[in-house]
Amino acid sequence: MLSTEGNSALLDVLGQYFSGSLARALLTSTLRRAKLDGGALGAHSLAEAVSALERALPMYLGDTGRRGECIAQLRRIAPVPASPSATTSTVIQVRTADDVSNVCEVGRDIACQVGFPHVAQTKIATAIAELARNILLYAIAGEVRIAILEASRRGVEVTAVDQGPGIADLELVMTGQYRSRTGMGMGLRGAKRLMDEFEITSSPKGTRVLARKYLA
Amino acid sequence: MNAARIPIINLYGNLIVPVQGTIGDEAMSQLTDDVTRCIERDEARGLVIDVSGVALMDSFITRNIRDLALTARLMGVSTIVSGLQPAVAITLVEMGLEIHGLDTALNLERALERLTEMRSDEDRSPGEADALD
Repeated sequence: MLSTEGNSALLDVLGQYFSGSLARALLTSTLRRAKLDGGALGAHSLAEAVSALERALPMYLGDTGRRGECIAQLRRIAPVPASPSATTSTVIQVRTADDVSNVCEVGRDIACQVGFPHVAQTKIATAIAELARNILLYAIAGEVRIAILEASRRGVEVTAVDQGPGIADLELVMTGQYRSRTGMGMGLRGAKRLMDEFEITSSPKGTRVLARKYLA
Repeated sequence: MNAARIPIINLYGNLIVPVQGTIGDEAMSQLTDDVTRCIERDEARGLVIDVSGVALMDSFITRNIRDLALTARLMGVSTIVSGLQPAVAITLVEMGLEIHGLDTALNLERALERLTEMRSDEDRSPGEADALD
């Protein structure tokens, strides 16, 4: 699987920072996670592989200087297309408990990619967990959209949308005067505290939460 | 993940539950069943729920772990939650989650030391154990 030109170029770069077997394992697992395995990498998928590696690297290469060098070298193999001036976003459907953990993981990856430090990544992922969990508990299904903000202030934007029954007394829930059996208010208020901006709208047709956290 | 059962280790009368990664709803209710059954079967004297392998604790997981700890304590078993990661602790405080009533320790070793202390206190002055806690 790692015999094609693109793959071996990536492996060559990784080999300068990791032992041979670790480099190979890192590449294989990253490609598998990015669903790019099982074939030769074309120009487009090579760029995707490089971005996937960039996201994975912080876990393996703690030294930011060396990580920067490694990323620069990887980008030379496949220039990553510049993100559009608008926002790049990922949408994940939430229907099962596995989706909840999945969306948290994606959120953490994106926060890491934006450059948030570890504690802030944890806060963002936790806020996403609360929103996704609420969808699952009260609306059965919905979706979470995670976008990178790059216009005036760099950051992450999380939008959670569902078509559930809505929250009857939003104000009571958000002020903490109401406590549901499952502790809904707790989760929403917690998510609000973890993010910089938080807007919630709810009607009998559904609920929409928009939350942002900025890098600086 | 859903099928994976969280292991429960019995060590010198203490039960140790190393929780790893994310815990789904099913795994959590399974864990409560398993732990309470083990407490009864092994006549455990202490329980440590080690969360050092958990990188994210939202209100749902936190509440479940707290409930498990309170359930065990209700059965008369001293319970300590150990190994909260720094980022997780900071996040929980910022969220304002209510976790009072929960004994915590820096790591598994400290938790086991504490359980041993608690036990020797109990042995020294039976009947006054609750007052000492």
